[in-house]
Amino acid sequence: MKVREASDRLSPIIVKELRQGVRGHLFTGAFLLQQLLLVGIASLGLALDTNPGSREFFSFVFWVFVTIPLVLILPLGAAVSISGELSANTLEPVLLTRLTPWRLVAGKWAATASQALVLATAALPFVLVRYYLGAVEIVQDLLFLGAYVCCSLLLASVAVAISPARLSALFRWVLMAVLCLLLGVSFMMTAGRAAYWRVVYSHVPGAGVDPWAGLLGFMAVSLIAVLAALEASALQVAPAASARPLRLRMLALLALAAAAWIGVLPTDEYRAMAIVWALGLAGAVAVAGVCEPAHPIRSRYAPFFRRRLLVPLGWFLAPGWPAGVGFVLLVASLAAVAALPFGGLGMALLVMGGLAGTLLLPVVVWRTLFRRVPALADNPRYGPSFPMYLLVTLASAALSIIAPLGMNQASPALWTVGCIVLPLCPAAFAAGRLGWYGSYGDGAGTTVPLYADVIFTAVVSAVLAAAVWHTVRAWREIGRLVRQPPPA
Amino acid sequence: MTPMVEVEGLVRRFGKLEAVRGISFSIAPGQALGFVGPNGAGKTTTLRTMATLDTPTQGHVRICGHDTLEEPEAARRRIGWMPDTTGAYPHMTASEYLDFFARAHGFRGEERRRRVAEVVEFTETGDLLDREMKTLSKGMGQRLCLARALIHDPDVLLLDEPAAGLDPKARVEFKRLVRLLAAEGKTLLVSSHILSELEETCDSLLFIVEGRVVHHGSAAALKTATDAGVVVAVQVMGEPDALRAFARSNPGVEVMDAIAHGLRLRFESGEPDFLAEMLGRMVRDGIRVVDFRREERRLEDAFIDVLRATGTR
Repeated sequence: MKVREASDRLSPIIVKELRQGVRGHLFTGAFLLQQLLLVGIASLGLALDTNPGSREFFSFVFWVFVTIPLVLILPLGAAVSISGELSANTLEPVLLTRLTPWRLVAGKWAATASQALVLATAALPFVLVRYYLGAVEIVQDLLFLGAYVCCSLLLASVAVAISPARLSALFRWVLMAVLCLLLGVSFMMTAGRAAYWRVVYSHVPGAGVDPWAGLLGFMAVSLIAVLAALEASALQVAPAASARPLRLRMLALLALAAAAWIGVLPTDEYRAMAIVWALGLAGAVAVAGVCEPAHPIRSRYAPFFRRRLLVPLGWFLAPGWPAGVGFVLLVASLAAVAALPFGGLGMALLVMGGLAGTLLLPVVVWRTLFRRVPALADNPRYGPSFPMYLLVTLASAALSIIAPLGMNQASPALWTVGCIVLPLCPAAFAAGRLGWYGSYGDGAGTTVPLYADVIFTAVVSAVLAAAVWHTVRAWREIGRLVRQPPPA
Repeated sequence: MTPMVEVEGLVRRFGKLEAVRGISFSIAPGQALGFVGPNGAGKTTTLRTMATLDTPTQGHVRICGHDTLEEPEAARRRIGWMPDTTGAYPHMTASEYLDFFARAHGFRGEERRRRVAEVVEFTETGDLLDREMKTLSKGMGQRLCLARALIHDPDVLLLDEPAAGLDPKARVEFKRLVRLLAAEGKTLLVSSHILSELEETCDSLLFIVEGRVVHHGSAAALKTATDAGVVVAVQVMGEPDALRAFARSNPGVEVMDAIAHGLRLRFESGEPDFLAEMLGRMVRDGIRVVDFRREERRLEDAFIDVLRATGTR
């Protein structure tokens, strides 16, 4: 193959993004700034490297200069990669080409990843300089650099996922900065700690269990999270007739499977973070599912009705909020099964009721109340919009905060009100009953009264029954739509 | 002959707003249809729905026999889409822009270069290839955008306001390209506010008002269908206030618009006797008429008549 044809092997979007990226100010600026700062810090280190204290300081500054472009500047750039195209009206012509939305967002992410690799490679000579200056463990530095690159790739995928959302510039930057902080710190506390562990303790006999299995599990969940973020971005970009959440929900289930596997590993070094990430991912996918409009487009549902065996899969993998409700019930059931060995049937029921009740409450509120208000419900086929979902959830969560405050008072009246109100946020009540964030005692050893449990059971049962009823009705409508002959 | 574009009972609602209310039409192969309507009539919504970028609330759109909801990918491959705003990649040259879209449409190697060369030759954009997109004028950008829309040799071209914001020279150039495309057998749907250009380039016109079709047919048919009297350009010495007053006091006369030193007036009858009587009255009223010229009915006038007939302001 000729050299000039080599780029034919690459995705067109990567070629385009790299061409633009190299000429753009963001990457060039980040690259030059990083090089200048690293040259400066290396020179200063050579000149002032007199004691271990200053060496530690220079080491800290070195890593700050290496990581800021990787975990902050590049992800922030990726956060406007699709929104910029939306505002410049350049995305729609691309959507009419043979590029699928998935290839489009994956190309955007890959271009950012390539830039991250270039930045990391450009930092390598300075890692070697540090090594030759002494007192630096080269393997540890290289592992850290690798961990930062992985972190950058993860954050870039999250940035690409929020990029198509219609947000104000300020809110987008704040959201991205918060996500960079939360995910970046938790990732580095796990993967970075693993790098440190390997270097510092690998030579010490009996220093502990081998952390590789848990680390691999965590990295597997991270990889699933990257794929899920890209899939979520593609779903937002795709025109309604082409948007299919099947792969996203499969990835969420895969993350739960990985979490289950990590849960039974003998080591607990990385278990907690991996499980938290997997549950967070599944929860986010579930919320996205119940907020997804059930567009009356026959071709979206038809594949699940082609064979009788596929129909049950459609209940939780098909597009639209009805399958989103099914997905929530599936996730809650899986969580209940996982809880069985730890706390028996009682714990399993609390976990399932808490999860399903909280996640489905906004759907039920929307479908039963708001759809009767024409100004709010523009289309009876739709579930709640995401802002509406958030509003109901926040209202429910506010109760979960207010209620315990009342319950901690000495007043019997407040205690009673708290016991009545708290079950309206099923997850908070279940967590409280399981003792996950302190006891719901009144300070005098009093336990939660029976009527609170009864209210919780009634609320969850009502929510589940109403959600299932609305879902069955919606599925009947979808079934009628699919059975119609396709347009001639 | 099977139509290349079929739109059946298209409805699009945004909440309580019904942007498109049951539009139906079809376009035969090689035909050019002008899509006309006031701002907010639903033109862009209809075009976006046809381009598979939006979903109809009701109804169907078929492009070359492919339903846009059942087979969106197949429909997209037959569509060339030119939106009303030319999106530009600031750090990309025109050549790279076309190269990217050729790649995105699946062309590789020599075939890709050949396709780019063909559309560059057709749209005469060769002199723009090395220029960054941010340096192109509106007219140049529109030509480049058309080249991009043609890169995969689509059968159906959906052009949304392609001549908006162009200078007269660029408009003439663009009109020529549209005519050439129609002559090559492409099926075109051109939305525009410049009715005279649509009259010259399109085989038929589709007027929509408030999401409904109010006329579908040739420009000549539209002029005849809405023919209500004749339009006469009257120029006077001094200010045309007296002419305005004359129109107000005579029930069969209506002011269309202002021209230099006069007004365009619509008279309810085109009979020579009636016109002579009107001219005589003007002179008797002391209006110093220097020119009294009967005009051929313009498409814009017919369009305004259509709007009036539908009660649209």
